[in-house]
Amino acid sequence: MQFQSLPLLLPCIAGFFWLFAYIIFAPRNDFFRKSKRFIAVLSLFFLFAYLSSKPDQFMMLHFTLFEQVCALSIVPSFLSYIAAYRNKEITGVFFRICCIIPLLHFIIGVESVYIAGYDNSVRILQDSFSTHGPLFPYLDDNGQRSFYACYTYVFQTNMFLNFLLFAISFMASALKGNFKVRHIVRFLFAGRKCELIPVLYVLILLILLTVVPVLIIGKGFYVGNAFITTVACIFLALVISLVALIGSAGKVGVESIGGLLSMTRFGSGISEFDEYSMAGGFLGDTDSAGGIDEKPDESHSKSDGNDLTSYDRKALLRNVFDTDFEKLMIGGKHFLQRDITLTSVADTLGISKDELSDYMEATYGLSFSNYVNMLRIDFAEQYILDHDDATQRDIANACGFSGASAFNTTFSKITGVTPKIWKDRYAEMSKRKKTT
Amino acid sequence: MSYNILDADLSAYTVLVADDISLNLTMVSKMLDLYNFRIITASNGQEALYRMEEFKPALILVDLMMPVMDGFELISSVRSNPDYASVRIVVMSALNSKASIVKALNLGADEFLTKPLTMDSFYDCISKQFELILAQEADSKIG
Repeated sequence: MQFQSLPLLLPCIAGFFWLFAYIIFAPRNDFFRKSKRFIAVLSLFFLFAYLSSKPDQFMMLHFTLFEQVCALSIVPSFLSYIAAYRNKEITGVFFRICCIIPLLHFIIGVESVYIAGYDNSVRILQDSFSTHGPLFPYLDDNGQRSFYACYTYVFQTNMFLNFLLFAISFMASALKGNFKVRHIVRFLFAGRKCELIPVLYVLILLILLTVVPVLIIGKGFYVGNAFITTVACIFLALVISLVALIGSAGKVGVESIGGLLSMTRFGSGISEFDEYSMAGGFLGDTDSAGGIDEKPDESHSKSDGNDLTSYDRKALLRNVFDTDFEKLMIGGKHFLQRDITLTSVADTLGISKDELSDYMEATYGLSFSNYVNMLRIDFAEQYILDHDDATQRDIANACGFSGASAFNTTFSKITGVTPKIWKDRYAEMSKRKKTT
Repeated sequence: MSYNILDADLSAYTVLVADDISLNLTMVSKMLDLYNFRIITASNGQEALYRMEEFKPALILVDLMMPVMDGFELISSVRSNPDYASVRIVVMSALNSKASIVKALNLGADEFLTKPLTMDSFYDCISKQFELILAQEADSKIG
């Protein structure tokens, strides 16, 4: 029975340490930052392995070594969740709510010991350890039913919590940033925005991996199940990585593949931008040379696999997007066009609107419409002063607004005062200037 | 163009951004995120002065058009206070008339950035200001 765990045990432990290293080094380390796809694939691996390695629901008699390791996967999944938070993919409120999860888990664990009684718990664990070694509390039914039942409960809860955390991480990465509670609805119904198709892929694969082995192999499926899971996970990892590889090289523009790629992105807009700008390689972590070549010379000494400094980030931002984007928007006064939309600008720049939207959020912290409105209001302020006799309609026309009322509303919303009050305030300020 | 300042440890420094338009504050704060100094914000000149007392910023980014106390007044107040003699002042404004620029610089602003801000000019300006701040500090230490 024990050897069923072996094919999956080592990858699980390795994955655990990998995620641990990731959470420590990710925020400022080039290698880890660019290996987010790998983290995502690993998370999938954990999820599938965890779910499919469980004995069927009516035979929860064996807590194998592997299952214990999987139970521990709540830790890395939580860590990866924290990583998502630190990358500003998840909002603070939601983060705090989810912090309750490990606490809940701990409480349930304590409860199980309480129900069984401390002495019983210790004896059971000692028996298990002496028979099977640590992390292998093989249980029998000799009077320990209550403890066992509660432990089963812990186990099932653990599975649920794990799934929840993974789900949140996936949704956050699929939506590419700033995950909020209301985004769950958006996630379910967003269509093109976050791509439901890859989510369905995952669900179908999940069913295939968990149900089919049971149906085919039956109750004696443990070994086969572990083997199939391992193979399937590796296969899945390869498929996702391949898609990510093709996608990041910019050779495939199919929406569904883009969506699948987006699911494997665990990062802020900036890191997605990194992936966009690079030729990319398997899992995006070792082939950073493509990205480095695009940077100015000075950055070479700092970019050879060590810290990705803010300088590098800036160089990347500047080199690929900003020049074109700001040249178009500010230099070309594109914001004055009345029919400007996120899609039209993205099309002009030759990127997807999601990418542009992420870029805006990561660079300016503003949505596209807010950014455009801000540019228009900046322009309007100077226009008002330069054209003393201009009507609001004239100003609205000159600044790209559809009409005077739209201009008035937007101006008031952004500056807090109507254009007229603003103008009066300026006159007052100028007067004060002269008297001082 | 020098961006070396981005690698420097600026965690001991504070930058104050004064602007009454919250979108501008959001955007400038986000753009300043690349540096590791502390960023504080104020929505008018008066608030900026209060916050300056508390946080002693090394650099302030000021909008001209603000309620309660406008940018010109803020610059005058800062420059008239000897405690803030070393504070660098950058004006960010959409009011790009020659008169405004000259007035701001005459009152003691160190640089004038015209809105809309572009990455290039913004980062150049911040880097330059911090190079000067660091150089100033090094000089005073040697002195």
